[in-house]
Amino acid sequence: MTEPVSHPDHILCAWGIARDFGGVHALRDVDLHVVRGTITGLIGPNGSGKTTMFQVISGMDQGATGTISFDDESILGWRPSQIYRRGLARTFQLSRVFPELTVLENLVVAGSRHDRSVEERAFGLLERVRLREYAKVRGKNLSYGQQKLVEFLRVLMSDPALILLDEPAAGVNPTLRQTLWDMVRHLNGLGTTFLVIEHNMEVIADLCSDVYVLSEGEMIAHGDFAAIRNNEQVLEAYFGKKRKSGTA
Amino acid sequence: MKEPLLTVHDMEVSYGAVQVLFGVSLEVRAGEIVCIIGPNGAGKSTVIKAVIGLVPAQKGQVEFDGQPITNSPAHEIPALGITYVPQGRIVFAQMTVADNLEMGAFLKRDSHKRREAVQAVFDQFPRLYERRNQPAGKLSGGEQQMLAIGRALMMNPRLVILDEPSLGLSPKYVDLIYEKLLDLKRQGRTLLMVEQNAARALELSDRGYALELGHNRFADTGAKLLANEDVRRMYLGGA
Repeated sequence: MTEPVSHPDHILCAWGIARDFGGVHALRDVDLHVVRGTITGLIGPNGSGKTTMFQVISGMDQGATGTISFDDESILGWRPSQIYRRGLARTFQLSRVFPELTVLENLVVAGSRHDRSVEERAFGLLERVRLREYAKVRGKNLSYGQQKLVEFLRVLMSDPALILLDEPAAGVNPTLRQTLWDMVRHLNGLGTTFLVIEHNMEVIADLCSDVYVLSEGEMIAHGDFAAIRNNEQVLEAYFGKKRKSGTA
Repeated sequence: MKEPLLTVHDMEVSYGAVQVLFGVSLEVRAGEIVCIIGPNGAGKSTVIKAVIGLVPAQKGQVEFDGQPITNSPAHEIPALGITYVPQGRIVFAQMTVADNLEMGAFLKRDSHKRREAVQAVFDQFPRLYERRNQPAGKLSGGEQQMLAIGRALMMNPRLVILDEPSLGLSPKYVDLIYEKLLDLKRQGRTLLMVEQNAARALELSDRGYALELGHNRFADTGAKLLANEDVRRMYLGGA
C-alpha cells in the first residue's frame, strides 16, 4: 500500500483501521474520511463497530492498527487528552456528567482556564439551549435528556474543530432532541465539523451530506444518503440475510 | 380460528418523559412462532418487557389465555406459564450448567420433577448434557444461548418469549439455535421473539409484526413480510 496522503479538505482521515478483540474482528480494514465543515453520518446495525471506531479515533482504545490523521497530524497512539486538546472531542452513548457538580461546574471544568471568560462561555451555551436557569442545579438532579445536553455543551467548551457524537439523541425527549439537532446545525454553520452515530434515519437524511455504513466491522458503503438508502448491501446488512439454502 | 393465547392491545410505555410505545397491539396463538421486528428504537424489546412485567405499561391491556395480566409483577409471570430468554444470554456464570437449569424451575418444589425437567432439556440439547458440570461462564456464546433457552423450558411453559436469540452468535450457532426453535414449535411450543435479524426470524415465523418508532407498521405472515420490499425499506426510513 502506498503511503496515504490526506486531502486538504479532509479534517479526519482513517485508513486501514483494524481492531480485534480476542479473535473477533471488530473492525477490518476500515477507511473513513471526514470532509471539513460537513456533518458526516456513521450508521450500521447493532454491533457493527461504530462505537469501537469512535473509541479508536478518540484514543480511548489503544489496540487498533492502521493510520489516522487529524488536521494533518498522525494521531493513532496519542492519549485521549492529547487528541482532545488538539481539537477532537466526543460524547458518549450513555451520558457522563459529574453528578455532584452543578451544571455550570460541569461545563467550567472543561474550559481551559477558570476565569470569567470560561463562565461567560458556559452561560452563553446554556442560554442557547434554554438551560440557563439550571446553572446551579447538580448534575444528578437533571433529567436524562438534560444530562445528555449538558454533556454535549461540555464538549463545546473547548471549541473543538471536530466533534464525534455517539447517539446524542438516544433517550432524549422530542423537544430536547430538536434543541440538540438545532445546536448541531448552528455550530456546523459556524464551521464545526461533526461525525455522528445515529439510528434515526430521518435525522441522518436531514443533517448529513455524507454517510458511511459499517456492517460486521467492515465499511460496506459510503455516499450521500439517497444512494445509501438504495444500496442492496446496506439493506441486507440491516434486514439480515436469508439462509443460503433458501426458505426454511 | 383459535383464540389467541397472548393478546397485547393498544400498549403505551414511556421511560420517564420519553414515550417509546404508542399503542402497540399483537396476538400470539397457541403453537405459533411469532416475531417482532423493526429497526433500532422501534420498541421491540419494550413490548415484551411490558408483557412480562419488567417495565410498566401506562396504557393498554395484556391478556394471557383469556385472563387480564396487564402490569402483573415479573415474579408472578413464570407461574402463569410464560418464561423469558433475555437478550445477551444472561446465565449464572459461576454456577454449573445443571444448576443453571435447576434455577429455571425454582418454583417446582418436587426435586424429582425438577430432575426430570433437567433431563428433558438435556435430551433436547445433548451439548448441554456433555457440559453439565462446567460453570456456565465457560460455555461458548452459542452454548450459553442454548442454556438460557433450556432454562426457560424448565417450567414447561405455555409461551416462551425470546429477546434477540441470535444476537452476537456465529453464523453456525445462529443456524443451530434457529433449528432448535423450530424443533420446539414442532413439539407444540408457542414462541414469541424479538429479532434484529429480521430475514432469518421471518423465515422461521408463522407471523410477524414490524414496528417502527413505537407504532405497529406491518403485520402479516412471515413469508409475506419477508417478500414485502416496503418492510425492508422501513429499516432505512425509506418506506
